[in-house]
Amino acid sequence: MPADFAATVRALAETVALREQGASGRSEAASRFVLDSFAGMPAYLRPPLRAATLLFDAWPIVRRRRPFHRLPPAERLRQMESWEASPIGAARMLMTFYISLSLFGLWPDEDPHG
Amino acid sequence: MSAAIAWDAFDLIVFDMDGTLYDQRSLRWRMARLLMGDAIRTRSLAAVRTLSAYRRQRETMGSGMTVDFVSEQYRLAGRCPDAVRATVAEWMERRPLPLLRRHRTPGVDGLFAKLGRRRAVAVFSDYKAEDKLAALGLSAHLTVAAEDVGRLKPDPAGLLWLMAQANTTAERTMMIGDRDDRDGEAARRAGVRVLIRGRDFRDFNDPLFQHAC
Ligand SMILES: [Mg+2]
Repeated sequence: MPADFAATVRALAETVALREQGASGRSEAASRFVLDSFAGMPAYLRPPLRAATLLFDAWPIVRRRRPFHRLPPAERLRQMESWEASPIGAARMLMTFYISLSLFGLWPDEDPHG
Repeated sequence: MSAAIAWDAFDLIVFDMDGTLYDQRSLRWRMARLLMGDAIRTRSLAAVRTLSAYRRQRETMGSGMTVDFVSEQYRLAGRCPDAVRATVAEWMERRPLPLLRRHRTPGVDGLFAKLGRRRAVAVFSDYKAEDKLAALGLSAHLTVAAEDVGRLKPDPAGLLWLMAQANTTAERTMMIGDRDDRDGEAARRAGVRVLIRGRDFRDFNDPLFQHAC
């Protein structure tokens, strides 16, 4: 069960939607927004970000025998929050990146607004 | 929409602002990057969380009837209304201004100039439009925001107010917007003809606007 970049982004968006908006959160628009944002980033930023994301996904494999994107919602939330509070700046920054973009993607004006 | 429009039949052309006079999608991505940078710098998701909750609140208010939305829109669970108002002012009003010009919808400046010679050009937006218009390098004869009339689209109150100011009728008014469920619905409730960007035209260089003068 290898790490999977797009599945990790989707799982993170779902986790953010669940934490911030409960069961009503629409995570599809958020994960699409994050993936589009990633595709629009400068080329030099994408490889390190992808590598950090895959590391995040692979993190629970040793102890839980499955990657982040295959964890149940409560365990995903635990891992996301422990990285958010990590003493390692890069781990915190990775979470801030995904959580802020997911939150932005959860704005209801994905469709143009009036 | 292929049928030519008899522009002479209209005295008042009312434009929506966001998504109509500028491309909201590309601006949104720029704002997301700014907010993300702010979150990393301040180590806080407070601004993006507040804005997310505020947008949801406004969208819900637009879908139903809310009495006194002007103050209600800033009342979010667990947040001080003044702080919400300040965050909204900074991130939804002030910070996007310098970015607007480069996201302006193609052809809009020429169309405003042409239309404005012989008829009233107005902006009807859920948000204050004057500063955005100036940032876009455009000017209109009349503007009205949801806060001025106490109603969000699709309530047609703003549109009716503009018609009264321009001293004209629904038959001689045209609404141009980007959302059928907001601009389109407001226009229908007021009995006004409507064009929707993305459905009826792509930008203001469309042949639809060729004979507007
Ligand atoms: Mg709009």
